[in-house]
Amino acid sequence: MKPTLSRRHLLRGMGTAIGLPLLDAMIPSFASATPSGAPPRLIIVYAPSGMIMPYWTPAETGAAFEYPRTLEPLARHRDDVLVLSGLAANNGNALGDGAGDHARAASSYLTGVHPRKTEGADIQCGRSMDQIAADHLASKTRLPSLELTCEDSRQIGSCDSYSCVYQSISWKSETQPLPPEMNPRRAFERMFGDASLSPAQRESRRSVLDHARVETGKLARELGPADQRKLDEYLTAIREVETRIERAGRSDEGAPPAGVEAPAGMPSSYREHAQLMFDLCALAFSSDTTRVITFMLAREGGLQTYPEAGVPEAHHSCTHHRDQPDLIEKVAKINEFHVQQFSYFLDKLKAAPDGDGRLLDHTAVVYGASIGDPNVHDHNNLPTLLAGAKGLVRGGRHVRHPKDTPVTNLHLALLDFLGVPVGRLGDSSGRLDLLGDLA
Amino acid sequence: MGAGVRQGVLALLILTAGTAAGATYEDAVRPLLHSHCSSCHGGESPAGGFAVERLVSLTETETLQERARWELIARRMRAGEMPPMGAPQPAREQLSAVTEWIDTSYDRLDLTQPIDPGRVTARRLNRVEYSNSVRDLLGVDMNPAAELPPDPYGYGFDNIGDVLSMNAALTEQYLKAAERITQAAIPIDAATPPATMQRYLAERMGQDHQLRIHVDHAFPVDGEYTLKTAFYQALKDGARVRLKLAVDGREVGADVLQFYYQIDRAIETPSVRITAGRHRIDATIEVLPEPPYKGSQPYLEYIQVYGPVAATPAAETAAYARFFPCGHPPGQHDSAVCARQILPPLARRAFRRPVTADEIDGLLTLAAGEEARSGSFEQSMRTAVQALLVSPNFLFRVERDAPGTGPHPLSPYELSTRLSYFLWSSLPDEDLARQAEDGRLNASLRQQAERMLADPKASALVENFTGQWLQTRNLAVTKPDPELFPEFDGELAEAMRTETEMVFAAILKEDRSLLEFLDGKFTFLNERLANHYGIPGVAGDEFRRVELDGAQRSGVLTHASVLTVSSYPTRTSAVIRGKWVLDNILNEPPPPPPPDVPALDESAVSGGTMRQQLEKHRAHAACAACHARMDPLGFGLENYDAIGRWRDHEGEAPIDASGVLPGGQTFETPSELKAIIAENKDAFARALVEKMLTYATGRGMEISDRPAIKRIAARVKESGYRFRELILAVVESETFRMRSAKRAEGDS
Repeated sequence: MKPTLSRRHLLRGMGTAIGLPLLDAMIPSFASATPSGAPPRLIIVYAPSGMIMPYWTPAETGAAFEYPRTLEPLARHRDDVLVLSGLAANNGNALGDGAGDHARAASSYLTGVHPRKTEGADIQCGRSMDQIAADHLASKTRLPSLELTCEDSRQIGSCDSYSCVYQSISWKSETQPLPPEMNPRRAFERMFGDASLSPAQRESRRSVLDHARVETGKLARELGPADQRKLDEYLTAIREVETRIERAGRSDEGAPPAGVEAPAGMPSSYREHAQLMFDLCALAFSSDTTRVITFMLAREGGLQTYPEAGVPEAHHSCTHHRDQPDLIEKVAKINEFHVQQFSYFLDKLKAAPDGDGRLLDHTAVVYGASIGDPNVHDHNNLPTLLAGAKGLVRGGRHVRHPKDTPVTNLHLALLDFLGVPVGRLGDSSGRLDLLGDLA
Repeated sequence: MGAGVRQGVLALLILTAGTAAGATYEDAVRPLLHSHCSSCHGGESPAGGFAVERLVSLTETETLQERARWELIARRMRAGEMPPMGAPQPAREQLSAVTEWIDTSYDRLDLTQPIDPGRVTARRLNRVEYSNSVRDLLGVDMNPAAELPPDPYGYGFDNIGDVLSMNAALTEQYLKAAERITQAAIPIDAATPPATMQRYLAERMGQDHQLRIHVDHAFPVDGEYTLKTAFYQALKDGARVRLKLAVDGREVGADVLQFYYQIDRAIETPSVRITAGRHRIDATIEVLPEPPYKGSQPYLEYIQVYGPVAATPAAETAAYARFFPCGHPPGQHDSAVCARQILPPLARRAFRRPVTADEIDGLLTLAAGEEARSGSFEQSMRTAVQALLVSPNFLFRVERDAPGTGPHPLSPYELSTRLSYFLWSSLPDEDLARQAEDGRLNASLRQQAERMLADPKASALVENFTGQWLQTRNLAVTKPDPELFPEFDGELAEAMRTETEMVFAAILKEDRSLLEFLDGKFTFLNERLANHYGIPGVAGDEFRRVELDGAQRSGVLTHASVLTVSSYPTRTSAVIRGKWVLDNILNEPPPPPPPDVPALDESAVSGGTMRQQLEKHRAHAACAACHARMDPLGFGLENYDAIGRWRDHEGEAPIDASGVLPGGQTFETPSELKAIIAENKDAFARALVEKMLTYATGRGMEISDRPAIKRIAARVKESGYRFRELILAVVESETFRMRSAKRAEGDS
């Protein structure tokens, strides 16, 4: 860790602001795949419940286009941002399964797989691209990945005719969705929790986990396949935690940068919450805690309200606008508000030195939704932005891909950037070229 | 097959004897479906993908194999949804002949079929079960649920084995929880945690602008702590206020502050000795009458806890005496003897079954390793208990296959575990465990269940089942628009939730009819909620029983809790409320919108009255069938606003709470609607049985569970719809007591 702190940042906790030297506290020192010597990272920022597309999609393609209203907050990042049109998540469509577009939107987005419709038994979708990357890169960082959200999906009642677990975009295996963490303090503890352990405490933990692993293995062997799957999840989880503790024991990595304190709890406003989560994302990358993050700004088809943006109504309720101007306006305000928070994040990534450049240069940042026009649950023209990732992305442009180009083609290009070799992903039909001009 | 099954069979015989209709497949069913259904539901692309023509081309025996389809037909016909409005309508008797044929056919089938008790997937303890289990195991309540992330829901409940999963993040949370818990349960003088400060802001607890605030705080160890509270508001000079702090109702600090230009607006207690675990802290402020004061009211800003400033010597704590039964003072244990005295009984309770010598040896080895490293026997016990708490034998509830084929009874230990998690959301107590161990549980099952329902721990069933069945847990995440509903705050939400739980508890405790959920003429209110309802004569914070005349309030459909969670943040929704009634009361969940129709747009309604908009919506034939059923149920509740207050007008417009149900029944007021709903006694009983059985077993109900549900519902009916009987009948059912044999390899 180099003590080259030059900027300060605020993590907003329980009402009190805690001074935080953040992103620049650590300059990662490891081999990497990017030309500049820093490792490549990936973050998927998921925007829920679609977009008012006329306010989102630029009229022109190429470099000379005007930023429409919803993208306006990104004007200062124009050169870093590539706007993509025409991508599709075809498996979000019903394909004979009836209602449930929001659940399918989330679970098909990073998997390219059509989820099995069930309220609980036999949950099945596919491995998501972030988890494929996380597995591949697991040995490089303390955490294989982070999954975050600003709205809990675990509400009572059914979630759009599917089990609520289909609200996850990250799938560790085809039967195991990963629930995103909503609480900033818990997320922070996950990132830096073992740093405060003494060697003796680490040793105790290790022995406790070792015991649990042996018992879990024994128990799993005595049970039927469905039970075994549950026990295997635990076995895998125990191994992951053990690996982490071992790493923490081997080196002094894993401490939060000097002066960074854990956020105290849940912020009271959405803006504070989202920005705090973005702070944590930037911190996770700059401290090389993980290289893969998925962050859902809220849940798909969710009930988050945005009084700060002038929309006290639940988000989903507004999205079925039936072309009524007042409802379109409300959704547009939410879309814009989300993009504002995203723009804040790009500010952070630009301001953070990383290797011989900025953190943004080495991070593939996706801002995407799995629904276009929410009024009709369109899964075939998805709002997608890509920022950062020098060498992969040529920003400052709007590129329109042929209709129904699978969004998984983008995912494959992103996996290439991370150095994760994957031939196919779900319904992918090729790889997007993010440098070239199509039209 | 046990006596229970025969009893069920008898009950069903009695049940079906009265309903055996003359309708036959050839005479009544086939012709009607041909004449009234197959023009839409036939040909190359049958409407809704539902091919009736094919169904009726089969023989009676063949066609009955298509149970899901026939039951759907019965449901849609009974609901008046099919044939749809605008299509030629058969006579009512013709329709009921079809639905009766369907009902009696399957009743007969269910009668001859053995019960399939199903298989429950290994269940991870959810956070509530984990919290309660640890509390009952170690005698210290650290409320770890507050620190663990919420659990996922399936089939409306958060205890479903198939849905509960495990991952690294959660494993770490459980590990940390185990460390916090053992720190509190096993005091060690040399290992006192450093003092920390925690400040609970009233604003963040939904207790903004209050004269009283409270928080549940989990104190990490037995020791001394200082508490602090402060108020906001620049009072006029000279005004005097009294601030008080209390722990579990015991006053620990009080002071009178007189307000001048700049004063300290806080009081802090001296060091207070408090035991480890969860305690409730209350802070209050009152403006004293002297000198007279007429200015704006102060309100409390926060409660702060600091400590431990000193730890209670381990030897003096109750926790120490409880955990170390061998009676040695700290640091002077005979390790080998004490460990063998402490760990086996703990492991037995934690695993909810006898433990093997291997398992004990594993724990002893683990403890010995820790003692060798740390030189502390007490520390080695902490580590061993942590290992117990993250052991899969504790964290997961597993059930094993018995040899042979066919359904088999659960082992007595598995049964006792199901029972205690159903009624207590916790592990079995000594009494129940002994019944299992002595092989007496099968005989004493009902008696045990009754004993356990009378125990205070049954509040877990009240809270968890009510909160999920009626979805009142969602009050914690419901955010009525603060501009429109400034009255709504954490205290009101809490009062709403409490009312519903207390009504549920009373119906259970007083062995009342479950129909009183629908129109019981009593409830429980405190002043805040009574004011919300406009019911006079209730003063103070305490909830008390209030008799109702039923005009505006009676039954859960008129509870503010239910009415709030079934509304949008800014307004009511007839569709959500209608669907809520169908889902949770009538057990007739409307099918999701057909794939070729845009999803429900009612949520977007803004121009015109909602009723007009919905009427337009129903003009669309594809929407009409379901909305004709949902919307009127919601209209009938329009006299309640989005936070459950009674209203006669919305803005200028008078409320129109009238409606026509698909069956032709009409109503003008909420109470008339409720009376119609309450006529569906058996549908409601069946709905409640299905929910209860889902919660009790931790799995979703399948078609193969239909016979069991019917038999339980029949028993409930026989008892005069006693709610307690419903719970006992669930406990005594094959579905609860048994388990299906292993299926073919690869089939889970």
